[in-house]
Amino acid sequence: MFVALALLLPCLLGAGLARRLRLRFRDESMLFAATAIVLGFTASAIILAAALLAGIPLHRAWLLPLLSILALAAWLPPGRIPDSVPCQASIAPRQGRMLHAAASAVAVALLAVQCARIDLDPVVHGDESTIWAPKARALLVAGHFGHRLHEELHAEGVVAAHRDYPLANPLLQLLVFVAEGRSTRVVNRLPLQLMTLALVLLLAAALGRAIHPALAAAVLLATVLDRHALHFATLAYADALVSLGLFLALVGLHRETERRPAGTALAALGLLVATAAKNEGALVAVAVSLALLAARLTGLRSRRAPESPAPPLRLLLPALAVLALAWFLNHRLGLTNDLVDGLASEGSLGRTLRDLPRRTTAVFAFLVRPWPGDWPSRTLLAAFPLLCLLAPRHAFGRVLRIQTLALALILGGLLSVFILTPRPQDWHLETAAARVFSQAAPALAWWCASMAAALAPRLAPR
Amino acid sequence: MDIVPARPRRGFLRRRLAAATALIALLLPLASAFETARDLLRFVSSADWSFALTASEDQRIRRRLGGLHGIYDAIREHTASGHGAVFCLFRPEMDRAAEYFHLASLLHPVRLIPVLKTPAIHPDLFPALRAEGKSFLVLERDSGIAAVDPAWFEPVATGAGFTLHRFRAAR
Repeated sequence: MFVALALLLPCLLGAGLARRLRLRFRDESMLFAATAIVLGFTASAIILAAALLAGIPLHRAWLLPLLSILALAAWLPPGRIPDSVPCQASIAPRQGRMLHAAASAVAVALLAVQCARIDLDPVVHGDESTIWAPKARALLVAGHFGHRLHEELHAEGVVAAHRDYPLANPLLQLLVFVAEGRSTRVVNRLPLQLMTLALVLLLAAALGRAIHPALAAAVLLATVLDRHALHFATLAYADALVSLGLFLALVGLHRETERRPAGTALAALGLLVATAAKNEGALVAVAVSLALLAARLTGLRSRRAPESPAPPLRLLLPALAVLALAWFLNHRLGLTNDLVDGLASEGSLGRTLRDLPRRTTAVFAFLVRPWPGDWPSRTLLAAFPLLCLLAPRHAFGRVLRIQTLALALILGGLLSVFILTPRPQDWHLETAAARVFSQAAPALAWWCASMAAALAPRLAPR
Repeated sequence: MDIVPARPRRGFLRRRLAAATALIALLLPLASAFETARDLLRFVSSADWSFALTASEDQRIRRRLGGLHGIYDAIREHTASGHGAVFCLFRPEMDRAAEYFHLASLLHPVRLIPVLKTPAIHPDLFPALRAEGKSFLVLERDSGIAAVDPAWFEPVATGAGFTLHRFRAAR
């Protein structure tokens, strides 16, 4: 029961906060629900991080009442919220909207089935049992971001890898541990699976506005039923959080360009989630910042009003705070990143650079090699540069410029990671490349759909 | 009057090609999506839904551990009663055993302390532990411990190629 409350209360809190961002359930139900989940669990994670920083003992006796009070406060009639322009989820006719809603319901139902299948087993395998769950348990046992946490993470016999990784995933698992009063082996996946549900709802909402409903339905199912991505998105991994953060940031910036409510807030929330999820999230934040900067500079050069939809600092402030906290904690606990350390070790970078042509070829050979059908989003990776070359005026036009630049920088950054990796390259590609590149798949699917609708008006939502 | 066909606008073909590329990229994954959906529907029709929806965490752990659940129970009982640590006798093949990681993950924060990473068992190790006069559990794969002194060890559980021994305290 306490676990159910720990899952329900953040959603209620998030729904109240989403209302305050001028989002309305009756106008954009799927976007509203997705935002409520993300806001609620992000707020819960921030509360737990603050308690750990302050050394307040973690207990459900204060956590659940606090979440209840905050949820109640968020739902109280607000003093003054500026009226928002009614904003339809889709401008398609009723029949099309029904089709899109049915496809969204099927996608959510299949996601629930996959979660039920994954949850037959406890957390005993892969990164969820060697990186994320041990860190969450160490936080529970230590109860503080201090030397006790260092001891717990380094204790003999504890299987805990990549101890420097960011905290969003462990904090979400910790929410369940605190509610249950002990560490658990199955239900700690649930907050992360709800964040994956938010990703699916967000994708459904964005595709519904971007493209013809029949096509939106097909693309939604094709993206959600990507076997490889779906598997990892329903385990207690952090890749779906990066995916969600990146997509939310790009969709938020697009809303801002269209002058629809909550764009900047959603973009900032997306960058916060991505940065707090994994180190790839920092790459997302850097890529979006550079894309915004490029849009500003282009606007200045063309002597028109700046086309950047929001002040970059306001957007980036939450993500910068997360990065500062992560740096502070890792510095305090003496935790370092194995990839950075490996590259920084004596002579390693020189050797890597001398071997650059072979390493680059190996990465591209890996990306184009035949796969047994379990990495379908590779077609989106291949289509992205092709579309940029074939239709640069659309890709780098006013509407999608920031998204195109950000995605290009992110994909370039991910390629560099696998080219420069200090780990054995073949092993690193085999174990991580498909999963890591799939983080960009929902954003790429939406971007390709937007491009298709811009290039062929018959594909636009009607 | 001759009718001169209108000249297509500049870039028309390129735009068409780009739109087709986008469509292909978006729809090609549908083929494998059908496979995934079929796989999920097969699970829906064959799954034990009573277990999937109502089983406790402990039941799910036992189902996953299979033959290892006796060892899991014995270690939990041992640590719950306040006895000494659990030593894990690492041999090269055990170092990579998935079952070891499953146990370590499920027993956390109980620690499975790795002792050796060499094929040979150090002859001084167990006498030294014995001298401390405490009760330990030793988890190993195969039968390396018998080479030390079988009289010191009492097997308490076996499963999946592992044996859990109770180390007799020095009297």
